[in-house]
Amino acid sequence: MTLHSLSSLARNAALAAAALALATPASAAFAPERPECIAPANPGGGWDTICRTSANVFQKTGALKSTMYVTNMPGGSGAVAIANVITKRKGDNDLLVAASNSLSFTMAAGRTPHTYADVVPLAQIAAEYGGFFVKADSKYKNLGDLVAALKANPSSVSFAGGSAPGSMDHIKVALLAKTVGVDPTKLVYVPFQGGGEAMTALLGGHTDAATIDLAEASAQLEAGKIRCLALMAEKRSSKYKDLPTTFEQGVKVKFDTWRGVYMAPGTSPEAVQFWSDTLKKMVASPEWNTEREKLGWEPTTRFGDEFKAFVKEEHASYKALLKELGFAK
Amino acid sequence: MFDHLINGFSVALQPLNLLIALLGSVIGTVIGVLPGLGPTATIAMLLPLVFTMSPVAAMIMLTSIYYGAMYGGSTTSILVNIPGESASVITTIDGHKMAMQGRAGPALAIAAVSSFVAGTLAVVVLTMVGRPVASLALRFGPAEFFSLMFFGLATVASLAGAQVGKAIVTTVMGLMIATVGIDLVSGAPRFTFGNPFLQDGIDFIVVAMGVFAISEIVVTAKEVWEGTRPQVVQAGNVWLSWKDFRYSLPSIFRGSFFGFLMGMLPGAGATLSTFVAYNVEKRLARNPELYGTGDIRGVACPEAANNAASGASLIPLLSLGIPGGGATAVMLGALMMLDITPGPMMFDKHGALLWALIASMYVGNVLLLVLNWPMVNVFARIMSVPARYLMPIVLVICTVGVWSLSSSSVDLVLTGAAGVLGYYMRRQKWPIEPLVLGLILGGRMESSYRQALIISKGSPTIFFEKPISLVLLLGALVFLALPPILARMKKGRALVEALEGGEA
Amino acid sequence: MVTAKIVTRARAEGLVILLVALGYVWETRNIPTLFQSPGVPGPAAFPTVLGLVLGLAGLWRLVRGAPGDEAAARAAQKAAGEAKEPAAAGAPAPSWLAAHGRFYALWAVVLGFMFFMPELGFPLGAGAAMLLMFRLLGEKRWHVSAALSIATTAILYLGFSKGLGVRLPLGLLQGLLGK
Repeated sequence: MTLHSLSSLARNAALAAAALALATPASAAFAPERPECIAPANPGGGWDTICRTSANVFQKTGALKSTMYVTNMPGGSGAVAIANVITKRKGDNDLLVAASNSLSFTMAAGRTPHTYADVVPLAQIAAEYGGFFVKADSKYKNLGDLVAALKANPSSVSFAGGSAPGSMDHIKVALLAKTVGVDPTKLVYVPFQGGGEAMTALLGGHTDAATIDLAEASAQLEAGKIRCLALMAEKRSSKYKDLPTTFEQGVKVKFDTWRGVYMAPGTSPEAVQFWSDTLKKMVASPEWNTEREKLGWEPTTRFGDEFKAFVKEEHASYKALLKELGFAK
Repeated sequence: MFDHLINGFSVALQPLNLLIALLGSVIGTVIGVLPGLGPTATIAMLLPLVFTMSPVAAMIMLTSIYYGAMYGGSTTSILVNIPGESASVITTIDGHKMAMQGRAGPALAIAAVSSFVAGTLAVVVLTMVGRPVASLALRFGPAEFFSLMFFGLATVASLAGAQVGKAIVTTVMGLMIATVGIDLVSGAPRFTFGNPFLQDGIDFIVVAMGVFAISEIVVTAKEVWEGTRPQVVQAGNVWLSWKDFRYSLPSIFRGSFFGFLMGMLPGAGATLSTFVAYNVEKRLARNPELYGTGDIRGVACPEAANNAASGASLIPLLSLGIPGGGATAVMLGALMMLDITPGPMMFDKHGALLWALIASMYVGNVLLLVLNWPMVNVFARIMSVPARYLMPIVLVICTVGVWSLSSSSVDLVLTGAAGVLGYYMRRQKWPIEPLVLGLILGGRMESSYRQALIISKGSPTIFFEKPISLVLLLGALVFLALPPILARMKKGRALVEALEGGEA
Repeated sequence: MVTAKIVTRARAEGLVILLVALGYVWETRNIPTLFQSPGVPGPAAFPTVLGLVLGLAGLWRLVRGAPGDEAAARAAQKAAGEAKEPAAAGAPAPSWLAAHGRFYALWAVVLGFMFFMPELGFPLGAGAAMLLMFRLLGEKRWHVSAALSIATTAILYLGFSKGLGVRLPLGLLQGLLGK
């Protein structure tokens, strides 16, 4: 062992110790005065649920000294909120903003000039599966039937979804079509205002199938009114274990809806650390897991650099996909 | 079923639950009464309150807040001519006129009574046939929705009488405002001028606070300066007289019918039902010319409709898990967090809770009436607050209401612009209500139309092949064709009477 | 007597409506065509129809005027004119400012409040706007207006931001409070 490496080791150790010494009191010292969570949508949606459930769990576990306020800032699938956060809330250490794939689509389609590089992506706190559903008396018994029908005539099956074309629900069908070699631009996709309305259209027999999130379908599934042809996942759902997946039916396509949060640019490292730690503690708490279970969300989490790399990669792949479908140049 | 209901009552009548229902009604009314804060905003703001409660208590709280806020919304319509939510736009027409004639008391009282009657009727129907009725709502696909919206607009346009030209212009303007934002069906931004704040469209509150609230303060100010503001007569009779009640009872029943029928449908059911009910009323009732001049039936009918509709909107929510509008969507979110997934399994999985909720809706209706009866007197006194104090405060509260939607300065600028437009329209006698209805129905009307065509792969016959849709379209046709025919018939009858009179 | 005025209010309104409709239809050209199911009307179809209907209505009003409205307005004006005549004869005509100053001042306050509230902050903006509006609507005593506007602002600010969690902007006050 050379002197040089020894000294570097010592220096590293000293640095680490210093960092630890600094970090611990600092993160303990930072406490949000007026914690706030912006839900970039109207009350009642997925983003709103992220904020309100977290606020609820924080309150139950006493993780924050004061109640976290929830502000709804709807507009442009997250475009309004991110613009507001970047221009007006720079350096606001008390602020979390709810996010999900929808925001990635907003960015990939160029509906906002901003990307994740302009804010501080903090964490993914849960995931949700999407799937393909038909009425209980439908002639499509499994994914194979559906794929066969699509291959014979791509526009023979009408899909109801809860978002505009070029966003989440549409992309799910498009991905399926692409994977089985069907032209995704020939699909019949009927967009509705939210998963609930898409479900109504399916139940009323106005469309042949629905492509929505599992949580939106769970009530009707339990009642036996609809059938799940496939969840778009590798592994089965942790709550609904009897639903088949795409992978086990030989179609290698998956699509996770992630739920997470980001922070405003210019926030202090201590604050980022504090919130990251607080959220880590939250997702490990039994209170959170009961709530998560109720909502039918999966316990998939990503933190720090892993999450940053994940959203960056996602952004690139969505951009390519939208280009292929004719949604972005 | 009655065992269930009795069990439900035994839960709902527990002192704690009773207290919660009372508290919910009071808070809902008090916040709902603030102009600009409708039921959706009220429930969303008060959500943190319920998370610490048991599921039963939370549901009772939420529904009583909802009822309270719906009732509070009509109070501002009557007193200051500003509808608290879209379903009480129609109430302004006769309600505020009554208030200016010194009949604020009876107007508020009939609103409370018709809310009670309609609300109770709705719960009774919900109890009896909730589940079978819910499946009716499923029959409404895109084609049926388009025809329903078209029917709604036709009834309104046909009503304007001599002003039909102006009504068409303002309806189309409302529909145009509704096209601003990201197009649901294609995902394309329209008329946003690259501004992300416009991507989600323009909210009803933003326009309504402009055309109603801002124009009201300027009109009031002008009246004060010119000394033409009518002295509000302090009528001795604050309460509702038996005669008034008997007079409006048929309207209450008709209003309840339309409200219930349309309230079940997701979307703009409650609002549409008030417009349709009022307009059908104006066609069918005796001496229709009294409507719009401060006729008490003009308050009873839309108030009954919107309360029956808010009761009915719980049917698809509870039995299908489908929220009918903003307020019920927030409630759905809250229920999911309480581990109650509304839907077909609700009766089996959460039967006891559901019946407790239904029972508490009966209780809530009674509470609201008991509570609002004395409040009528208090609210009616607002009319004696001098306009120079009242109107500025009202305007500031409206601004908070707009701001609470999305903390957006763009919304405030648009409200200001809507204010200028609204003032001009009122001065030059352009009807404002069609503008509001166009704005509310426009988005849904267009997307339903295009959804239907996507399903039918471009063939417009889908609107005529579906029976419900066909009936609605024919109904619209009748409404459009009826006024000229009726006018001719009336002329004929007058002629006959004149002739007979001459002979006698 | 029927003097056929060429420029009437109805015609002016018709022109404005026509221009709005034209602008609206013009703007539909900026709607991007994205993914489209074949054979189905796109995002610009419905707005185009609306624009055409409004444009036709505007054109009709521009060309035809509104004879009914005009007659009614003339009758109303005549009645009002007769009623006012004696008073107007006695007193000197009021200056434009005295007659309309308050009207435009009120609009300025209302719109100013709407436009500048986010920057001024709710407490300052609402307080000032109410103070001026009380005054304009006829409250002559400054101390009453001031007390009432300060009290109302405080109640509303505290009630909404503390009680209901509406985040009202502090605006300029934020700097003063050092936060």
